Formats: sequence, C-alpha cells, structure tokens
Amino acid sequence: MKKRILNFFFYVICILLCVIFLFPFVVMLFGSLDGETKYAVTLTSWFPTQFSLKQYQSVLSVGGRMSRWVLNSVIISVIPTITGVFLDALLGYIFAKKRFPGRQLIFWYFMAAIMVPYQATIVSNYLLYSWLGWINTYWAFLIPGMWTVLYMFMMRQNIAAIPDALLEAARIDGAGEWRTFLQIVLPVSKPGLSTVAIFSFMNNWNNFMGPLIFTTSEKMYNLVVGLSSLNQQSASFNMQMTAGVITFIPMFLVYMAFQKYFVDGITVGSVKG
Amino acid sequence: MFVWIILIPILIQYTLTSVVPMLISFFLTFTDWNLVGTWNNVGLDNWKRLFSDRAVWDSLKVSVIYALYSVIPTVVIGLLLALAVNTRKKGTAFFKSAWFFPVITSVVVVASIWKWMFTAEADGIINQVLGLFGIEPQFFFGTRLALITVALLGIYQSVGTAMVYYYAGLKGIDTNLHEAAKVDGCTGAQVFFHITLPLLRPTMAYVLITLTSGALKVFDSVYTLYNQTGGPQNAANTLVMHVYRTGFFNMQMGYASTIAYLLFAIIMIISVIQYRITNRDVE
Repeated sequence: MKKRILNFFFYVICILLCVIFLFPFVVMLFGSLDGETKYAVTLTSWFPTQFSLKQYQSVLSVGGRMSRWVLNSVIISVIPTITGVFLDALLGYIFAKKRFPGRQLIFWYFMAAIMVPYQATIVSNYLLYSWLGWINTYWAFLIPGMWTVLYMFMMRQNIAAIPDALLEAARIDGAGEWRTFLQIVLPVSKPGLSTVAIFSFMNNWNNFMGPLIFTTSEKMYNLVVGLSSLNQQSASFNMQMTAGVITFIPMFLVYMAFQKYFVDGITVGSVKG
Repeated sequence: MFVWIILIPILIQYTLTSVVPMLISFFLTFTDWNLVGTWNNVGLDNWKRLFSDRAVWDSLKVSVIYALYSVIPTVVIGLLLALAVNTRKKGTAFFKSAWFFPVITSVVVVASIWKWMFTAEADGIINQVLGLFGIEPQFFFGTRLALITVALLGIYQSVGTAMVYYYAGLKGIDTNLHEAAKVDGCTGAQVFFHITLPLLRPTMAYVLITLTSGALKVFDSVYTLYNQTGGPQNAANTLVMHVYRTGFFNMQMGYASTIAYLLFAIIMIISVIQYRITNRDVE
C-alpha cells in the first residue's frame, strides 16, 4: 500500500515537471498556429479559437527576410558540420596515430584554445574580421568554425582505441595514407563522428553572439539573431512564436533522430568511470 | 608528408582565428581605439581604470550572484531528475526526453516565449498561475526580480544537462554495492546517503564547475530579455553584457578588451580547477 502511494506521488511530480518544462513549447506552437493576431497572451487566450497557417505563409514567403535567415542559418551550420566532422577526425587521427617532430607541442598549442572563452575575444575578433573583410559574409563563420579543438580531442581519444594492427594490415595491403584514413579510420569511428556532427550542428545553429556581432546587415542575420530582432521590433506574439517554431524545428528533428548521441556528446571530457 | 600537408594549412587557420585575436586583444588594452578613426597609445590607463571602475566590479558581482542563483538549484534539481530517471520505471525514458528539451533549444527562442509568459500584468500566464495560489502579481522584469528571472531561465535550460551528467555517473555505479547494502538491511535513504552520494561526488564537482564556468559567461538570455541592456538599473548587467556594451555601444574597444581579460582570467582559473578535478578522478 505504502509503495503504491509513493509510486503515485512519483508520477504526479514527474508529470507536473513535464508540464512545466513543455508548456512554453506548447504555448509557442499554438501561438504560431493562431488565426487571430495577438499582442498579449493569458492563461485563457493561449489556446487559439481558430487555427490557421497564415503566419507561416507570410513569414516564409519567397524573397521574405525570414527565408533568407533560414538559408543563412543552414549555410553557417551545415558547412561547418561537414568540414568539422572531417577535420576533427583527420586531426584526431594524426595526433593519435602518427609520429612526427613537434607532435606534443602542436597538440598543446591547439588545446590552449579551450581555455579562451569565445566572449573574451569577441572585440578583437570583430576588429580582425573587419580587416579581413569578413563582416557580413559567411567567412566569419566558415573559417573559424572549420573544426573544433574539443571535438578533435574527443576524436583523438576515440581513434587511439583503434588497434595499430588494423592500420598496419591496411598498409601492408598497399593502402596509402588517405585510403587508410577514409576506408578504415572513418568507418570505425562512426559513433564518435555522429556525436561530433550533432553537436557541431547544434552549436552553430543556436549560435547567437557571433552572428549578432559579425553581421550588421539584416540580410546576413541567422535565424536566432533574426528572431531576436523581431523581438525588439515588437512584432506580434504570433509572428515571434512562428519564428521561434521555425528556429526550433531543425533541432527538434535532429534530437528525435539521434537522442542516444546527445547523452554521449554532453559527457565528453567529463569524469570517466 | 601526409601529416604536414594537413597540419600546415590548419596551423595557419588556427593561428589566424584563435591566436591572433588573443594578441590583438592584448594590444588593444593599451589603446583607446573607438571602432572608427585612429587610436592612441594610452599605456596602462585602461588597466588602471579597470581596477577603480565601480561599474566593472558591479557587473562582476551580478555575474557571480547569477552563478549562485542558477547553479546551486541546477546541481540539486538535476540530481533529483537523474535519480527519477534512474529508477527505470515505466515512462522515465519519456520524462528524460521532455526534461532535456530546453537544452537543445536556442536561448533566444526560450527567452522570447518567456517574455510573453512572464509579463507583469495580472493576466500574464505566470502571474495568473501564481494568482491561483493567492500570490500577488510579480514584476518579473523589474529591478528586484530582474536577475532572478534570468537565473530561472538559466536553471530551466541547464537542468537537462546536469541530469544527463548525473545519469551517466549513476550508470557507472556498481549495482552490486546497492544489493549488498540492501541485504545488510539498509533503508533506501541510507543507501542513497552512504553509497550513492559519495560515489557521485566527482560527477557533482564536475557539474558544479562546468555550470559555473558557463554561468559566468551568460549573455544571450540577458540580451534577449532586456532588449540589449543590462536590465532595469543594470540589475542584470553581467560581465559579458558589460564588455559588449562598453565595446559596441560606447565604442571603447580598448577598454572593452581590458574588461574581457578579467573574464579570461576567471575562466582560466576555473579551467585549471576543472582539469585538476577531472585528472584526479582518472587516477
């Protein structure tokens, strides 16, 4: 009997927490589907009296500013994800399996970057990028975001676990350096690479401070900065929520498809049992 | 050959985008560069000003208070959530996904929903809910609660992360220990306080340090909730917000870089502590 009561309370609390955590998302979704344009939302009015997709139609119309923000977001998250997966693995492989002079020195030269917070060099980055003509271009994200030290480190740990005999066998079979990497190292480290891909995508997709500072023309905003500008122009509740849903959906799909890897990725570099 | 064909371009890219900015920012601390026009060598003026500037130390204080408000509840709630998930009861897989949801969401998306839900009017959603419990309508974005509202958002967005760390830690604990203790007649609470909790200590330290380091860098949520300002009467003017405003609003890039060094120093100390903790436990 006591056990059943405890069980009951367990579920009541868990479900209540789920309601608290998910309610803002529900408000956002219904706000975006509301047929009526609102400038305030209350406990009784968050549920639409009539549903409509007109917010999405107007917001995503061809040539509209938000379609451009979607495109910008896709470019500055998908490309660094692809280059990142490739380079993080390649560099991880080099530092894990190759012997060459200066290996330790170069490795720690790279690792030093982990200590420097992004926010601490934002001013000098702005100065550098304006000298290079990168302000309001994709280069400000594609070049610095080409690979990530933390994920290189993670791939190095993964690849170090590949037995040398496997690589040696490939070499004896006449595989060159690139073929060994592409046909043996890459396929074997798939789980690690998936984690890198997901986190690179998430970090770039949700990146706010970078695009906020390195883009000044509205056309070059990414979705997150665009949403924040709508916020400040006091766009209607429904329009902001629609922009919010559009910003959220890609992350939602990635999360649903690769949940397992999120757990692996978040605990990267944490205490190893 | 293979190695250097890859490493040379990467070394150039890394030096240009990570090392050069550090050098530029060090150089900027000795100038009065204002984004446009020319700059002068001002020697140590920026550094002298840093140590006597009330506004900077106030913003550091805001960041530290924010870290306390947001990290401590997260460390506790995250553990409770992980324990709930670790019971492996029916439905806990769903709960875990739901509680992790805010982590994958952009801060700006969450903050823009919150702005509508936390309005000060009595019919704002949150105030209406509080009203059901007989609580007076609160002015969430007013001076008194400004920072607490940001901290609530921080907790909402980071408990999922803490939960996942703890969950990984709990999975690593040998279940035989629990069984043995139960056979010896220990109650659930005794098992938790004498076995689970001590074994989770390294994880807890790691979570605490990681979240603190993140909390001291808070910017996005403040920017969105308070429309590019540090909130009413600078009540939520965090260190990074102060750097941003000094650099890009007041156009004092040299001084902003100097303040950023304060952030760099703090984060570096935390990183060293983090490195120590992580490595001690590996041994």
